[in-house]
Amino acid sequence: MKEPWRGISVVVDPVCGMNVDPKKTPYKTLYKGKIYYFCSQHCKRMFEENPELYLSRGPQIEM
Amino acid sequence: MKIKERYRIIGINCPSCILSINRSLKKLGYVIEFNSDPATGEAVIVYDGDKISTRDIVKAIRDAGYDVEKREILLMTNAGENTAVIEKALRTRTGVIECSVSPLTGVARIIINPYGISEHDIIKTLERLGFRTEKISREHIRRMEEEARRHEKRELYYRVISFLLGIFLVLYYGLSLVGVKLFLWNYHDIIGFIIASVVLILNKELIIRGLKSLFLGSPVMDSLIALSSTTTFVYSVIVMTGLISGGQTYFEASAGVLGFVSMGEYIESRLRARAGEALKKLMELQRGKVRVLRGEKFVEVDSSEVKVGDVVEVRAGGRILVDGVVVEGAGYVDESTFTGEPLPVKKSAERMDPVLAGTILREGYIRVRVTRVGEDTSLAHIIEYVRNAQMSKPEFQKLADRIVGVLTWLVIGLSIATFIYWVTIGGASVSVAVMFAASVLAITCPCPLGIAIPLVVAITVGKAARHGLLIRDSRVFEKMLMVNMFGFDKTGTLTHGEPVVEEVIPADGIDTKLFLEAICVLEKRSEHVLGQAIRRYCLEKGIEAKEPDNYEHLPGLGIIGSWNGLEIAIGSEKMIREFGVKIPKHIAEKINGYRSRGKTVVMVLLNHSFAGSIVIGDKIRPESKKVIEYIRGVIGAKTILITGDNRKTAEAVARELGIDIVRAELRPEDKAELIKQLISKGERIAYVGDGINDAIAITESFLGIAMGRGADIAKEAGEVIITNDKLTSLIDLHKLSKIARKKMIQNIIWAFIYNGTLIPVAMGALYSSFGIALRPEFAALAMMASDISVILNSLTILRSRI
Repeated sequence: MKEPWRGISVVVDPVCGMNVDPKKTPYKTLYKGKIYYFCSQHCKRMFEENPELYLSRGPQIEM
Repeated sequence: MKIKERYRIIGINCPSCILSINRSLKKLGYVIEFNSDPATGEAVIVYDGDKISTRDIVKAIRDAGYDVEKREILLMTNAGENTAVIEKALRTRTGVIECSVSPLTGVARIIINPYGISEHDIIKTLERLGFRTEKISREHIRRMEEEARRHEKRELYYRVISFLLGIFLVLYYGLSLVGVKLFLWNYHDIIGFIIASVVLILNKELIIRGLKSLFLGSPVMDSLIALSSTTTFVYSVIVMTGLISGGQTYFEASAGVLGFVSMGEYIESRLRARAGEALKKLMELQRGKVRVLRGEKFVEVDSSEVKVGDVVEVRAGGRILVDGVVVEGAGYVDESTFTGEPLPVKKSAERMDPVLAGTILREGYIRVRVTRVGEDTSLAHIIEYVRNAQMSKPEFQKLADRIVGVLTWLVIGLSIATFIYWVTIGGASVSVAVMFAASVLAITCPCPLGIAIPLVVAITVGKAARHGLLIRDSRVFEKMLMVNMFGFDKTGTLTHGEPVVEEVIPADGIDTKLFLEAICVLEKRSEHVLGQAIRRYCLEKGIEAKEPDNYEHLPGLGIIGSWNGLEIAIGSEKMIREFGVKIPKHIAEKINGYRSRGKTVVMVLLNHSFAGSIVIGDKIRPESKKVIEYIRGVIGAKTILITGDNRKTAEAVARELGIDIVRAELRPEDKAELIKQLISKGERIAYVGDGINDAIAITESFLGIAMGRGADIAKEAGEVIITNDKLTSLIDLHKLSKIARKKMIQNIIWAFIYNGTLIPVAMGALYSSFGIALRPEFAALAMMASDISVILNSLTILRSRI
C-alpha cells in the first residue's frame, strides 16, 4: 500500500474489505502520507473517525 | 420592547435545519427565543423590537438558506413625492418584510409576514398617515408600465417633429433676411402661427412643467423656455389680430426655442439606458434543466417546474438553478458572481450549507433541498431591487437649471421694469409698453439653450467611449464633479479578481529549478482555481511541464502524484499534517504573516519532506494606486473600501493604496445599506464595483460605476461602465467631466451673448432717440449666430486632449 497508484487497478477498502477501483471511487482520504480508498461515504467517515483501529485490525466485513 | 412573532418557515424538515437558522438568528443579536416545529415549519420568535424588526429576522432566515411564508400586497396610493414617509413608517413595523413605493406610479408593494400583521392593519396605518389607498392587481401594474412606455415612445416622436418644424420655421424666416423669400411668403404670419401652435401643443408637458416650477418659486431651465415661448406666441397672436398696432410677429422664435429644446431632450433620452427589460433577462441565470428527485429516481425537468421541498442533484461543473441547502454530498461552489471572491467556497451536507441560484459547482457532487424558487431566490430579489431603485433614482439639480433659474428672475424683473418705465417715465401708451415688455421676454430666451448642454454631453460620451467608458446617463459628467467620496469594492475592482501566484519560496537547500518543474508537472492535471493560477505562472516562466506519471486528487486537501521517481504533494496545511511532516518554525511564522494579509499559502512536499511553499493572492491592479492618489490629490475626495472580505486583508489593501476608510466583512445588502447611510449623511458617493453583490450598492450610490468584466447585473446597475476594465479610466472620466462642464458653461454664455445685446433694444433704448424697436430680423440674426456659436464650441471637445 506504499504507493497505491503504482500499477494497481484494484485496492481494498480498509474498513469493509471490499475491492475498490481507485480511479473511479470519489471516496478517498489521506492518512500519514498514504491515500486510502473506500467504497462509500460511510466507510470513509468510519475510517476518519478512528484510522488506527482499522489499520491495526484490518478490514472486516460488517454484519 | 419584547416582541413575540409567529412565522411559517419554508424549507425546513429536520432538526439540523433549525440549528442553522438558530445560528443565523444568534448572529443578528437581540433574538431572545426561537422555537420551531420542523414538521410544520411553524416558528415563534421572541426578539427586542427596539433593536431589530421583522425585516432583519427574515433576512437572517434567508441567509441560512430558508425562507418564510409571505404575502404581497399591492396598493395604489396618492403618495406623490412622499414615498419615503410610507417606506419609513412601514419598514420597521412588526410583520412587514419589505416595502417600496414607486414615485412614478404611486404603487406601493408591501411584503408581509401574514402571521405577524394583516392587510387590514397595513391599510389602516397608511390611512392614519393621511394617504388614500386602493388595492390593485399585478396585471394592472403591468398595464400601467406598458402605457408609460408607449407614452415615452410617443414623446420621442413629438421631439423629432418639434425639432423639424422649429428648424424649418427658423430657416424660413432666416432666409428671408438675405432676400430669399420662400414659397407663400406673403402668408408667413399664418404659416408661422400654424407651425408654432403645433410645436407648442407637442411640447405642452414641458411648458406646464416649466411654468409649474416657476409658480412654485424655483424656476428651472424649462421655466425660462416655457415663459419665453408662450409670451412670444401670445404676443405674436395679438399683433397678428391687430390689437397692438405697429408690432411684429415672432412665431419663429417661439417654435425655434422649443424645437432646439426638443432636439436636446431627444439626445438625452437616447443616451439614457433602458433599464428593466435588460435586467429581466438576467433571470436567465436561473433557467435551464434541473435533475430533480421524483420517487426513487432523478429526472430532468425545467427549472420552472421545481417546487420548494424538492431535492435536486448538481454535478461538478453544473450551474445551480435554485436556492436551497445541501442535504447530501459536498463540493466547492464558485460564488464569484455574487461575492466577487474568486476562490470557490466549500459547501457540505454536514453543515447544511445554503447555496444560491446562479452559482456554479466547481467540484464535488451535492444534493440540494430547494427552499426558494423563481421570484423568491436571492438573485431574483437583487434584480427586482435594482430595477425598482433605478426607476426611482432621485433627481439632482442640474447645472443648467441652477444657472438659467437665476436668469429667469432677471428676465422677469427686466420685463416688468421695462413695462413700468414706459407707462410712467417713458410716457408711451400701454400697448407700446406691453410690446416692449413682451419683446424682452421674447428675446432673452436664446434658441440654442436647449442643446447647449445635451450637445456637449453627446460629444463627450462619444469621446469617453474611445477611453473605454460607456456612459449610460446624460447626467454622469455633472455628477462626477459633485462626488466627494469614492467607494471601491476590493476583489475584481482594486484587484484583478482572480488568484495569481505572487511568490514561490523553495525551502533551504531545495533546487529552485527542480522545485518549479515538479510543481508545474503536477499542477498540469489540476482543475482547481489555485491550480490554474499556478499553471499560468508556469506558462509565464516558460516552463514546459511534462505529464506526471501518477496523479491523485484529494478534494479539500490537495494533489499527490509522482514524476521521474519523485513523489510530489501540493496542498493545504492539513495535508501536510496528514503526511506527518513538520514545517520549520521560521517558515511557519512567515506563512502566518502572509495569511494575515489575506494570501493563500500552498505547501509543497517532495519525497515526503517539506520542500517549500507557494504564495497565491489576488493581486492589486498596478493602476489602483495611481487612481487613489489622483482622487485624493486632484479631486480632493475621500476614499472608502467596501468589501465582503475579511478585515485584515481589507486593511492591508487599504494601507498599501492609501485608502482613508475601510469597511470589511459586509454582505451585499450591508454594502447597499452603508451607502444609503453615507448618502443620508450628505456624502455624494460614487461606488465602483463588479459583482452581483455590488449591484445594489451601485444602484444606491450617487454615481454608480461598474467594471466591464463584472457580472451583467452590476453593469445593468451602473450609470458608467468601464469597458476597458482599466481603473485609470476613472481619471479620464474626471478629466472629461471637467472639459464637459467648461463647455456647458461656455455654451450657455454663447447662447445668451447675441440675444443679450438685443435686450436694450428690446427694452426700447433706441426707441425715443432713433425710433427703433426690436424687429424680427434682429431676433432671427441673433438666433442664427448663437446657434452656430454653440455648435462650433461644442465640436471643439473632439479636439481637446486628455
